[in-house]
Amino acid sequence: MNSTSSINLVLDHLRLNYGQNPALDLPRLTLDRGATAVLGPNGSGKSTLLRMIATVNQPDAGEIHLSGLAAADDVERTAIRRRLGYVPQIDGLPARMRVHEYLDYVAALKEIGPARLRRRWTRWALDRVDLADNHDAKIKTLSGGMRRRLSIAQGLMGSPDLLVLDEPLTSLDAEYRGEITKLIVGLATTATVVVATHHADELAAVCHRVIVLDAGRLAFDGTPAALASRGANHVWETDTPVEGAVCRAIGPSRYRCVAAQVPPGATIIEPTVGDGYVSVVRYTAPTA
Amino acid sequence: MTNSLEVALGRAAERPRFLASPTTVQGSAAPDAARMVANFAGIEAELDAAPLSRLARVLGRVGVDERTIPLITATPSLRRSWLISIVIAVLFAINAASTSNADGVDRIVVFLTMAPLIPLLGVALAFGPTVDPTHEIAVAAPLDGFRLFLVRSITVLSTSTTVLLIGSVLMPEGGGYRVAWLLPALAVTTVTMAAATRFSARRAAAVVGTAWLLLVMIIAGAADTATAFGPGVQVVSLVVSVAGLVTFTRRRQRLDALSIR
Repeated sequence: MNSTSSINLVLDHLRLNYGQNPALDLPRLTLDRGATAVLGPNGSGKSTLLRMIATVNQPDAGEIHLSGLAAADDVERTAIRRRLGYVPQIDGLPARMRVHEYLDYVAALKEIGPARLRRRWTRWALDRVDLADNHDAKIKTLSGGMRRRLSIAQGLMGSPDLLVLDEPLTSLDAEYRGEITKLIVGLATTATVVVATHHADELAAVCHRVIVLDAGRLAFDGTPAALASRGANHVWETDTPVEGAVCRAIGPSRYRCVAAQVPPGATIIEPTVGDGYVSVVRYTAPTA
Repeated sequence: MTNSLEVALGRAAERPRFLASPTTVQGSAAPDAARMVANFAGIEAELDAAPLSRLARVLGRVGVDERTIPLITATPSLRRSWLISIVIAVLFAINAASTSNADGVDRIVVFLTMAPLIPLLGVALAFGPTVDPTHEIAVAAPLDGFRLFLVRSITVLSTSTTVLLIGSVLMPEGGGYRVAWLLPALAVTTVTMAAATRFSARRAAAVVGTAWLLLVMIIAGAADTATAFGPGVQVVSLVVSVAGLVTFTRRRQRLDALSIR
């Protein structure tokens, strides 16, 4: 990544319909260098948005610009793709290929050459995700977590200025969720990183900015701290789940609940980013 | 995480010829920096060398651009099912040609009708989200979609055409007509590639393949083999092939734009 380059991603009033139903309808958003987490329930439009940013899907209306380059223009879209790394939600890894063959192929797709350079990028990317020891393994022999890390490695090839990751922590154990989160935060010091995730407290909480989508619309846009504050006075712990509240088990017979109204007598506790997210999608109407 | 430099130095240490002996500098033992750099340069190429598949080595020897080699070698790995389907189709065509004479149907006509569909099948399975697990990655990559489609199509076509040619030569009868499928195959394939700039490759192949079958049924129903696959059809096939290639090349940007829809 070029630490001196100016990276500026503009999502200008993006809209996409699935049939008659709007799948995405967003106001103008500008994303600068740093990590932006995209949160939202299933079907809220997270992957749709990320596929648009990755130039895989085209919006019905609106424009995408990366540092002045328009995704709608044939030539400029290629220039965007030269600066782009994309990790889709579904890995789509060819099972019979070997790890290094797959990354060599991805490097060729990214116009990296000669072969010697591709091999160096392959080693570098595998080092980043702790898969260097598996470089000669067949992909079908890798575990789910290893495949996810390989998918992330292909996104890192060429060290992109814009990194788009869709659910990167899926299938990873706690150790690697922590490692990949650190990797993403580190990459965000020199690149624009957009990451869709359900791990609000593990990943979104350490991003610079959080966007919450709900039914294809923008429900929140701000810092993780601001999102957490949306849960203020809505969170408490209890011994039994409460009907009408969103409760998750945090221990034997112990639950952390979020609701519009805290029951009388309950002790209100400090909200996390995840609590703020629940408050936004459950108890706040979309803002756009 | 594994440090490549450590691995490199570890390998160097395993080879006595790369072991730098301490050099005495003003009475103290210190590594000879220049010698170490030179030695490392010696093993650098070895470090960069990854095991190449047999196909990659062969392609390199015959002069294929090294940036294109991974695109070709990846194709069979991505599409073993494609290779199997082609082999089955070839066997079917040859079998049909050698056994369908009982009811009076000219066996060579059956072969010449089916043979062009096999390269067509290969092209249909060469590109697109339903046949390529890496399609989304490929779309988001800067490599020209036209080039990727072309490289894969040529890979598929060269394989299936070679198999078909061998089958043609081995046919016991048919004379010069045994290879009269070549130009029609080129025609339907290039028309499919041109149509793939507007529709998906599979849909384009289905439409063109059906049209080809209907055309042969009409012509063969009204004439003998000499007319159905004679010089007239060959010339028309050549003209259609050129037109298909020109259209495919002219609309190359559409193929790339289509891939983002």
